[in-house]
Amino acid sequence: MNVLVCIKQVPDNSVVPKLDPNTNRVVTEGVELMESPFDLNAVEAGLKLVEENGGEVSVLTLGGESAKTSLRYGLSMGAAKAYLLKDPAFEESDSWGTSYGLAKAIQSIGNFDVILCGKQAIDNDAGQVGPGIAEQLGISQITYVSEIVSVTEDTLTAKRVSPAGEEVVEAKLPVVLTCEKSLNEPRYPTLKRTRMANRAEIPEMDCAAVGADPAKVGKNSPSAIKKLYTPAPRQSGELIQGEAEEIAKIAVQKLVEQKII
Amino acid sequence: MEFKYTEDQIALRRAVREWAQSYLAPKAEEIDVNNRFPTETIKALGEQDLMGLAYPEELGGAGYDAISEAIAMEEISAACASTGSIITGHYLGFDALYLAGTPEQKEKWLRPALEGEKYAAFCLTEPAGGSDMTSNKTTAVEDGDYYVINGVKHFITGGAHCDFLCCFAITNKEDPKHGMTCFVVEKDTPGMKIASEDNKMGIRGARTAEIVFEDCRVPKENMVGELNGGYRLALDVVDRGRIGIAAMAVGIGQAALDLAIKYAKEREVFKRPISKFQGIQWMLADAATQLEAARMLTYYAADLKEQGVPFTKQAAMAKLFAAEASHKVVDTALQIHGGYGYMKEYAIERIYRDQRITELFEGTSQVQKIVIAGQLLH
Repeated sequence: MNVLVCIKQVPDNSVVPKLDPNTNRVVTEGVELMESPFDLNAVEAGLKLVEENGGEVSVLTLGGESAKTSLRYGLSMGAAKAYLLKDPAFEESDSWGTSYGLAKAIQSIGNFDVILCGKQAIDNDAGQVGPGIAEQLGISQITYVSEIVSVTEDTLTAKRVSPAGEEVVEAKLPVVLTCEKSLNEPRYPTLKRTRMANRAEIPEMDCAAVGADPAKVGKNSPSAIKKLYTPAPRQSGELIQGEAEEIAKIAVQKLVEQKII
Repeated sequence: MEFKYTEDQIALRRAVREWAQSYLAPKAEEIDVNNRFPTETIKALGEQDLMGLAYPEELGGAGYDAISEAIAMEEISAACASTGSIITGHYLGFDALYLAGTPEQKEKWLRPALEGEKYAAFCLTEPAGGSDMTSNKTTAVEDGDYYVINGVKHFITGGAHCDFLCCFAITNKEDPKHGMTCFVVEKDTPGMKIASEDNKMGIRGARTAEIVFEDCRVPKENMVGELNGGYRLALDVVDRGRIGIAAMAVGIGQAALDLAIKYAKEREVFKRPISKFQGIQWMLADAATQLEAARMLTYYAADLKEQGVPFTKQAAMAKLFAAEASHKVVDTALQIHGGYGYMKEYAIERIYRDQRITELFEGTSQVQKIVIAGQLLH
């Protein structure tokens, strides 16, 4: 079973994001970077799949030179191969452009039975790229996976979190899964693997190499961000003090006044 | 001269920090309170490749350099000082085998130690002699294919929990300096008895033991290095180990400083955080400066070791300076916590106790000065 995991490098979640109003982007220069945490759940799921079913895990990302650090982290966790999709044409791609590029890269790398992504990246929280890859490749998808129940030669059954509850879904291989945090506990890299990962050659691929049309991505993406802003801080609530009976009366009165009830 | 971390060192610091903060830090308080040697941690350290970090891969190590080893020791000791000491004891325990062991001995004991399969202990100190090894009383007497060891060793880190130890015994009473020899003694060898374990002030998880040898027979093939070559061998092992203690002191100091900064930002008096007061700011600045100087001296000594040039003086300086700097840092950090820092509920109370050992073991600060002066005046 061959597995490919898509990883995204994002600003460290302990840093309050700064926005650049001119580019409508989150500022990443000079900011500590990390792997989007759900992507590490995806790597862990991939490693478990190959441990149980044989095969190997590859990791892929779209980004600049610094994104190699995230690929090396995937290798240090246990992935066998890493690929970097790197082309200035991808700058400012939307979710469609990103999934288009990644799907093209996946097709050019080889055949995979399972493609894993985090359920969403913690910078944009769009959650579109995983499903987008499945659409681009014309294969099945199971999103928000909280458990991989079973795998056969040509199917995979997973439990997914849905607004209505939990669903157990069977899909034909190849399949794209997007992973929840509850799926597993990502392993820590060992130091021998970390050292090996630092020495690994990471092939770089551009639009031409993967057969992606630069005219469809980056600034030419189908959608563009009109405005990016930090939401206004929430107003603090009103504290009603007194006896429980009085508080209840005042609270109901206020809710009626505001036509909430 | 290039002050720049390598890719390996950057990735290693991150990997060790994330693991240590997740695995070691949550149990630091429990092993202190219960005075418990965390046997399960030994296995986990092995799985993370931390039991033989800076030793060659062909021998079973992870192949990192000496500065990486110092970085790892910092991060481990910042999360749990007891574990820092447990690893230091292990490295000291097998280092004689690395320096002087035969290929067969390396295969039998060193490889499993580096791979984390076996835990080693360094068995040198005695009630009558610590840094003054010539006062040691434990003897080894030849008897056919064996040496028979008699004597008492104490303060042996992990002594009751190790798989083997490297024991230094007098083989020529007339001239102990040229009459000491190192032997591997395996766990459960008849005649070796754990007399007691110590009740220490700090690093309580790194339990130390008193070990009694009574007609303990070890095969001749367990002799490490040359007959009567143990004194020099022990000094070499200790020299190399000092850098680890310096790094441990830096890690403990860093943990204390981080807690002090966090507390100073949170604690409000006179309607503002105490971090807004210049008095606190200067305390933090002094502590951070001491710590950075200690770190650099430690890395410098490690770099010399890596280069394969003499480093005895710099290792002693690093150990002396880092231990004393971390003393000042933990003291400042506790002071910034005010009365709360004196309470068991606050981690700084444990760290304050844990730090103290760095000025005492592997040679007290005063012994480091003897070593440094000896290098200056020889």
